[in-house]
Amino acid sequence: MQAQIIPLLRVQRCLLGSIQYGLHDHRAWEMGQHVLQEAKRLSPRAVILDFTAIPLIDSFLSRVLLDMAKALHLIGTRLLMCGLPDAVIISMVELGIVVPPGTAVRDVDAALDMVDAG
Amino acid sequence: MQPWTWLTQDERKTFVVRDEDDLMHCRTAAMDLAARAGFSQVDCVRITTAVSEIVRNALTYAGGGEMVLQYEDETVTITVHDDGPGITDVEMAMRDGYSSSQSMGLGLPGAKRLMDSFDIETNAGSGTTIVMRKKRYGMDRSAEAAAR
Repeated sequence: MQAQIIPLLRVQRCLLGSIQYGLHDHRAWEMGQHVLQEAKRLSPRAVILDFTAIPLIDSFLSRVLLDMAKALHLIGTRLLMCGLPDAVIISMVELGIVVPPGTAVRDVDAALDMVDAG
Repeated sequence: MQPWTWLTQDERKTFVVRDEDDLMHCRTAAMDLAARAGFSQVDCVRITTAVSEIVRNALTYAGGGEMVLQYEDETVTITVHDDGPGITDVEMAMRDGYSSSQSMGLGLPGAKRLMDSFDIETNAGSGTTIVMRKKRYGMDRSAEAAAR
C-alpha cells in the first residue's frame, strides 16, 4: 500500500488536507493524483487544501493545482484553497500565477461556510 | 537541530543540479541564506521562488546545471548555468505565457519581476547563464525568533 502523500481528513462531508512542506515536483504530481482518486472514491462536497505551512508556490505547483481543480470539476467536486501566507501570495502575484477562480478563501472555517452556502 | 546563526560575512556556495532532489536542495539553501542574511519574509519567498523557476528551467531544458549562491554587500546573487541548447529567441522567452514545453511560460519573466536585477546570457547550442540579484533593505529579525 502506498503511503499517503498528504493525509486527507473527512470533515463535514468534505476532504481536508494540509500541505506542510515544499513538495518535490514529482510528489506534487502524486498529490494531485491522490486527491483526485480519493475524491472519486468518497464523493465529498468539496476538497479543501490548507496552505498555511507552505514555503512557496511556483509555476509548477500552480499548474498541478490548476489541473487538479479542472479534474475535480469534471467529477463535480469543488476545490478550495485556504491559508495562503502573505509572503507566498505576494510572490505568486508577482510571478504571474493564476489560481482557479473562486478557489481561494481565507481559512478552513471560511471554506466550510462557502461549501454550506452552496 | 543546528542553532540559528546570522550571516556575519560574505558567503558563496556552488550547487550541482542533476535532479529534483538537487532542485529542492537549491530552494532550501536559498531560503536559508536569505533568512540568515536578514531579508524580509516576503523577499525570502521571492528569492526562493525565483530560484525554483530558474533552476527548474535548467533541469527541464538542459538536463541539469549548476547554481552559485552568493551573499556580499547586503546583496544575494544567484547564478544558474547550464550547458543545454540555449535560448534561440530571448525576447520571446521573456514574454509571459511563452513556453517551448508544456509549462505556463512564466519562469523567466516571473523571476525577473521577483528579483531586483536579471541578466541572461545565452546562445543557441552554447548553454545559458542567468544572473539574478536582490538587495536587502533593513534587517528582518523575525526569522531568528521563529527558529528558537
